[in-house]
Amino acid sequence: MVNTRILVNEFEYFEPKTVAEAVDLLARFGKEAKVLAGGTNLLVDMKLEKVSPKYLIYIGKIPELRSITRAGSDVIIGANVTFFEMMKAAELKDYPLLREAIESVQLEIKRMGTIGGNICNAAPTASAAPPLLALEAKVKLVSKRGSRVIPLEEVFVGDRQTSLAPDELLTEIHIPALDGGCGTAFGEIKRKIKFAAVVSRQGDTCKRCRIAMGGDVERPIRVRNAESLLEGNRVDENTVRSACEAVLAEIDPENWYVREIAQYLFPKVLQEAWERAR
Amino acid sequence: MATQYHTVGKPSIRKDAIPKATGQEKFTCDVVIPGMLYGRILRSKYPHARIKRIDTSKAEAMGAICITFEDVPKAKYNERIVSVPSATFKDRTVLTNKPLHVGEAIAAVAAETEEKAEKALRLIEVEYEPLEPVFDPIAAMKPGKPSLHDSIILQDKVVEIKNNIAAKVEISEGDVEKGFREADIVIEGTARTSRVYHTQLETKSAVVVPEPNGGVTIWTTTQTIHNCRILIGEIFGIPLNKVNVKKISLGGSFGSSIQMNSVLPITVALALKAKRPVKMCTTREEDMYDHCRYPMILKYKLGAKKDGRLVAGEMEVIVDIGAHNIQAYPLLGCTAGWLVSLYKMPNLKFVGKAVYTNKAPACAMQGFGNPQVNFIAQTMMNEVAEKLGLDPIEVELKNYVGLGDVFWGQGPTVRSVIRSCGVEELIKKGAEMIGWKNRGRPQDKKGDIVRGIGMARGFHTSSAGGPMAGEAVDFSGAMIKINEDGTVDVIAPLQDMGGGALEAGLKIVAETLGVPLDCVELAPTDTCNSVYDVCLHATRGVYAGGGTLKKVAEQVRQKLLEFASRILGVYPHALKIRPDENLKQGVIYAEGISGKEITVKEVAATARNKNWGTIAAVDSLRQGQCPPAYTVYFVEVEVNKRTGEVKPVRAVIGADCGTVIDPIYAVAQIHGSFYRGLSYVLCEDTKYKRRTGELTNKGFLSGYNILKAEDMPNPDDIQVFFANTYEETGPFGAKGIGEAAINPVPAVVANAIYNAIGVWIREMPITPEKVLKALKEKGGN
Ligand SMILES: Cc1cc2nc3c(=O)[nH]c(=O)nc-3n(C[C@H](O)[C@H](O)[C@H](O)COP(=O)(O)OP(=O)(O)OC[C@H]3O[C@@H](n4cnc5c(N)ncnc54)[C@H](O)[C@@H]3O)c2cc1C
Repeated sequence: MVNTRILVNEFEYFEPKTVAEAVDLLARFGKEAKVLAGGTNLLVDMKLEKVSPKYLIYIGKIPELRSITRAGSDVIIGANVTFFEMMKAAELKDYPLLREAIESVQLEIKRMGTIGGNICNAAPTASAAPPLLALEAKVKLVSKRGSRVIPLEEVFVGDRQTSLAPDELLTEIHIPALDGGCGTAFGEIKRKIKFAAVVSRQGDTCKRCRIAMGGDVERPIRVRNAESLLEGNRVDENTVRSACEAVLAEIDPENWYVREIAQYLFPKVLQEAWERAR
Repeated sequence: MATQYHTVGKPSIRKDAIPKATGQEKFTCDVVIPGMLYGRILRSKYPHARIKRIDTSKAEAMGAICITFEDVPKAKYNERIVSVPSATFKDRTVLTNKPLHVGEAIAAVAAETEEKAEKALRLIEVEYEPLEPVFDPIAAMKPGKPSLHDSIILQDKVVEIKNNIAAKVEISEGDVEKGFREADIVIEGTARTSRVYHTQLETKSAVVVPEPNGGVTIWTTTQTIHNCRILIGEIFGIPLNKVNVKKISLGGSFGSSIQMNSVLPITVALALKAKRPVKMCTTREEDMYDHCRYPMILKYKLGAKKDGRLVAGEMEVIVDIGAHNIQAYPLLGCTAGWLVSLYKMPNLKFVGKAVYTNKAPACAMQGFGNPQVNFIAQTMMNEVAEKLGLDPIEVELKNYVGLGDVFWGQGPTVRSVIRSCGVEELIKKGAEMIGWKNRGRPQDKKGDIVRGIGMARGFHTSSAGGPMAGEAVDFSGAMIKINEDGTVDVIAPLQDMGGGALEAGLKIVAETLGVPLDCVELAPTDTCNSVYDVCLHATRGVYAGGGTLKKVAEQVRQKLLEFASRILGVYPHALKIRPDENLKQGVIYAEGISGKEITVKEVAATARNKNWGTIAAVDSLRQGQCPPAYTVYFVEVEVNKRTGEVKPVRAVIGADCGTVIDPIYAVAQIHGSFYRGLSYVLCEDTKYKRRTGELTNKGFLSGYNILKAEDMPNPDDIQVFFANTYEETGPFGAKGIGEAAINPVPAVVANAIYNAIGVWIREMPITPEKVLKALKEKGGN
């Protein structure tokens, strides 16, 4: 039986002050190291001995990871920004679905948990994942070998699995500006299912749409089949139904309850985004 | 009613509020003794096994003190001695060599730090011989199933256990067959209640100091310091005057420390072997393998006349008690009693069986079988009313056990006649407040999201008192003394689970003595300096504990007045006492005679200076009754028919606890119990993996779901009111409230769900999945 009163396994602890120092450490220790952000996932996992890193690299002392800035039309969120800071940020006012998605995170976790940790933990239920996927966010990954910017979608490869190399640090999340007049919505049934939608319309026709899903599913995903069934088409009962079928195709057939509630929630979220679009 | 009192019935800030809110209150895990070691427990990996070999040499080589089954006393004991010996089944030892559930203690270590202890623990080598486990109580009773206990001990006699049935209780009144024949309507149903974890804040802990005289000094998580003392004395053969258990704040319990918790004797054994103090604080994961609520399968058949009068009831209860019989026998008796005391039923049959399974042992939890029985009885009564086209309220009023009826407070052997009852008042007023008449019918409610209002009523005993000695020991004791400055020390072993029983006790003392509440403090108390008190359980804190304090305080008051009389030259019985908030003193005076006034301080100081002695008293009290405290719940829920989600949105709760000693804490007890009950009925369960016998949700961190603040109705939407009753046998007219506050919660939620969507769900927890499934089975929409 695990002992959650203490961290049973010993480790060495580092507090780099710059990204360069942090990636240096990652390059040195590779798989044996873990990045520590808010610790709300990692410390739990360490107590449960699901992971036992030999080296902990705490990134909370790196100032550049803690800011939210604008670069051109993009908003850039530092990996170590907390949920709480995101809720307050003026730069994020234009993305109401992001706020709606993280609103339900409990207070202690809002204060401690970071956006970078939320992404790198890659839980299917990650609160920030569906809205960021629907917003077509990109992430910047830095290592001693260099840096790359990839779509967030490519980060999530499985249940709590990312495509990050062991020496890579996630430093930024880039969110592009929304199309003028588009509508957004987010809906969830806690622990079970989450949907985020971003929709642009022209009269009764859907011009462009981005649909993302998370919850009791394998990983947070964009539901591209649903998107393509809607794009260029009139949005009516029939198209919504076939988009919903495409959503269901992504949910385990055994998971009857989640399938049931998806059929309730998805059309609601889509409808809401549609009505908000101009 | 309460206006005639200066302290009783008035709100106050309880004395432990600020220390608790600011983190200054000390709990067992805060106790630090110079030179102490840290203990850890090695727990079985298997749900059922024999230990073939256990090797502690590597752990010992790193300096750890280790104990196994070989090092502990072999006599079996039962950790709960609230019942008399003839009703106390003994089936366990301090450590075991035949673990009966995953997480059962098989060895323990003590070392200089918790980290070292943890390392040592992992160096112990254990060779298990896994045995076939059984997890389902129905299967466990079948022939050929593995037997957990071949025999147990009852009063030093060996009792054979057959088919894993740990205890059986049968009760029959009247003639049920005849009753059902006379009934116009007969309905049947089965309920399943869940195996919830207590979710108390403090995990079970102990600090034990071995003393040079061969004794031990103990701090531990408990509802009863005296019973812990008796047990430790018995198990380890230490004279009781050398076992001192110190009372320390309890971080909640919900009943899970009515017994001596398993961690205490293990820590004692370690400390005796180490000859050094040992501290053992369990983790949440360990604690979840230590106790849970009794889950029940309840089959119920109910017969009624057309007008809603009940004529017959038959109930069969199977309780899955897990690996040990902590109190299954009294539980079954109580469970029968809760049914008998709920309705006047001329013909009744009750059969209860408690069955061993390879799971964590179940123990008392707020209500002790009452919420379980209430769940089936109150939902089926609602169903009878619906089927007969009657208002459930009318049916309740026709059948409830009330004034002048006999009440079973703690099973068949603890009974008394009801002398105060607010049921009718609570039901009528509550119905008015919630808008009962406008709740509508499920079939008329349209849309995906519908609302429903339910009603359920319940009760709990106040103490296990009664005119004769029953199977439960029930008396309290206390000492009260007036200090030389007029302040008062209360030395009461009574515990407080957080509900405020002790604060109520202090108010009762202040009221009786006529001194300001500020003058009265709880003195540090231990088993050596206090007289016996059975335990804080059975909603006995205010009624029996408070009753005892009143009795002792009256004796102190008498002595105080006698001394004052000597000084003032006024007859003692002509003197009165009033609290003076400016002087911060009680003032003794002769009404209408000026100049004949003296403060308590002056009397106490004079008594000292003139060598009259201390103004003090010590005594015990057994209450001769077990009056029921009643609650009536009206709850409105919102049900999403597409997702099955149930959201409680509003409640009106009426309570009859006699005189309300403190309005703030009485309301808080009801709010807290409502929330605890909501999580019980809607969400919680400890589930076991079928093959390995492990909990699927090994502790909070890895996901034991409970309702959170955001899932609960806003406190502003919960209205609480009290009945205008006075219990003549209670202190200042008070009864209890503790457990009565939770008992109807599961039933009221199920009844409200029925009113919203027209289906009965009798399997707890009532999760969205179950609601949706039930709706689908019903069809429509
Ligand atoms: C009680 C409780 C409630 C929770 N509720 C929610 C909820 O409602 N919604 C939700 O989404 N989550 C929830 N979580 C999970 C968790 O809090 C969040 O996922 C949070 O965002 C994690 O962030 P963190 O900063 O604490 O990450 P950490 O625990 O510090 O790290 C998580 C993982 O990401 C890695 N990592 C962190 N930062 C980086 C980086 N910059 N680059 C590379 N790798 C990195 C770490 O090595 C680790 O593997 C909850 C957790 C708890 C304990």
